[in-house]
Amino acid sequence: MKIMVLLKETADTEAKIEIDPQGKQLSFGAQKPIVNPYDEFAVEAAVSLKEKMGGDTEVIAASYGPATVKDRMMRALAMGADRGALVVAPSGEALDGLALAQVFAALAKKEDVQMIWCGKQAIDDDNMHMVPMLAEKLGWGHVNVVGAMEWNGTDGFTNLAREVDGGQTEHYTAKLPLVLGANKSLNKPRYAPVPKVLQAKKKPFAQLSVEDLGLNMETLLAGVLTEVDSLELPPAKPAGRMVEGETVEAMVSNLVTLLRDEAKVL
Amino acid sequence: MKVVVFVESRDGQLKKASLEALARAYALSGNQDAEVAAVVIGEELSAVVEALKQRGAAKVYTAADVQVKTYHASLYAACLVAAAEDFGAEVVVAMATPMGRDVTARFAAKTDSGLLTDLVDFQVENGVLVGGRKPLYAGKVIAKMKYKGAGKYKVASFRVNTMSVPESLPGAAETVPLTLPQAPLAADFACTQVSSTGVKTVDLSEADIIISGGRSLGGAEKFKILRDCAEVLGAAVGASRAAVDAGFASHDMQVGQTGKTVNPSLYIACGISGAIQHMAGMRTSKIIVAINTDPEAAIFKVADYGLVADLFEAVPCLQAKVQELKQG
Repeated sequence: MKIMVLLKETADTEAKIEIDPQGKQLSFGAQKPIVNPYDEFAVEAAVSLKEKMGGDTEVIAASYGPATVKDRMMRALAMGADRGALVVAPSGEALDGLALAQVFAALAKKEDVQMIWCGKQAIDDDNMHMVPMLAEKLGWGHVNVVGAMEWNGTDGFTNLAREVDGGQTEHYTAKLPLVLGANKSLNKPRYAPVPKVLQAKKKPFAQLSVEDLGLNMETLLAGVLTEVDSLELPPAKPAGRMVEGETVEAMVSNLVTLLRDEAKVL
Repeated sequence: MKVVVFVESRDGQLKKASLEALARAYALSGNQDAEVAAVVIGEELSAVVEALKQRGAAKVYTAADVQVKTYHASLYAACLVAAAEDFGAEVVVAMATPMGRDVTARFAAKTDSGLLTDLVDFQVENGVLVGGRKPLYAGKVIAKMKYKGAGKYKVASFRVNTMSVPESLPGAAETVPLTLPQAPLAADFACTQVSSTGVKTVDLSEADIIISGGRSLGGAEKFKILRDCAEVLGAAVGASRAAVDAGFASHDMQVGQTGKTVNPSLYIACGISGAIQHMAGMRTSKIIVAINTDPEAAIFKVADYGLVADLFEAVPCLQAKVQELKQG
């Protein structure tokens, strides 16, 4: 069995974001990019399933982006993924989610994988669309925002808990092939000790082009249906005020008056 | 502009956020209810269809079948395709709820359409939807997004609580039954059960008021003072990551980077220091109140109103004052 985990490089949460004067490019200061935090739950899910399955189960960490993304992917290899596959993006050509789904669908077919894990969303654009889009392109089922799972031992899950809203959870039974999106509540990503980090650097790592997947950049770009037109910083919030009062009761009383008469939210 | 709008029903009831989707669709159509068709899917739909009258749509496509009693992404997307084709839609919209986001993504991939997610507004030029704005990096950047190329439809999901919903709009909501498409997936994929945490609470992502607690609450049982206050306020209860990691609250209550992004009119942060990860999830709230004993806490930087006070004293007091206000 082959399991693929998709990784996305994102800016660090702590990074200070700046926009160029043309409103087209973002920069993130000196902070190094990170692997999208949700993707680590996906890696943990895949590696823990591999441990359960045993045998010749293989976990492939995959991504699309500039060659430097390889450094970020080492984390997945240190956690237990067997090898890496990076589809190298030609510079300056941005794909949207749908075009990317075609790239990953082609990679999944080439590798003949039966299960794909992603983070439920990436913390940069928060689109939450890769899991359903990739599944549709492959003609597979999908469950996103998985918070718990029970593997049936052979070919599927007796439970995949999809966390929705209002404290509700949908429970799925599903057989492979599947695309699954990991939520934070699914597991606790393992710590990779130094020997594993060193070992990761020696694991097989392939850099591919979209042509290696039987695709062609021109067609992919023609299939890009959305783009960022311009970027701006949100309007600065006026400074708030401290609500005073002799006692806590007086403070709260003043607060309630302000919320009712000034903010008009009560 | 012909718009198809995805309406959510759970257990035969209309999801409140869907009325906002209808209002968005109506506005997109240039206030022409004849140009708006809703799609609603589920086992028993009569109550939902009734609730859709005078809400902006002249037509309602219904897919009522036991097979779609629970959410099935691929089948739901196929129903949406059938409706969009029949109506001759140019645009398909939904709210950016868990189901709305999921089904629109599957739909966009099925039809090779451009999808913009989590929009806070939209831009129409010469009667054509060209794009809209959405927050990136948890609201630290606003991006103006555009459709391009030759997508079959323009698909958009809108962030909840980003427009006010009128009490009523034109629209007779005449029903048009859809024939359920053949299951596009093997029968061994199904949502067999929907469970609930039992505590009947207001949805965090739909809540108009949220009261959240941090680790300084000191224990799961201490969240009761927030729940009691929330009941009087008509609020949902949230938690910081620190409180969730400490086991005081469940993950579905977490607001922030690895939890939920919320957008209420009023957000009351109690004993929350204001880590970047938390602020990422609540900074777009219209009014933020912070209650913290530490006057240096970062949360005061984003708060509209700050109270340097002990939450164990302030929250019960707030509950009493709001109760007075509501009775008087």
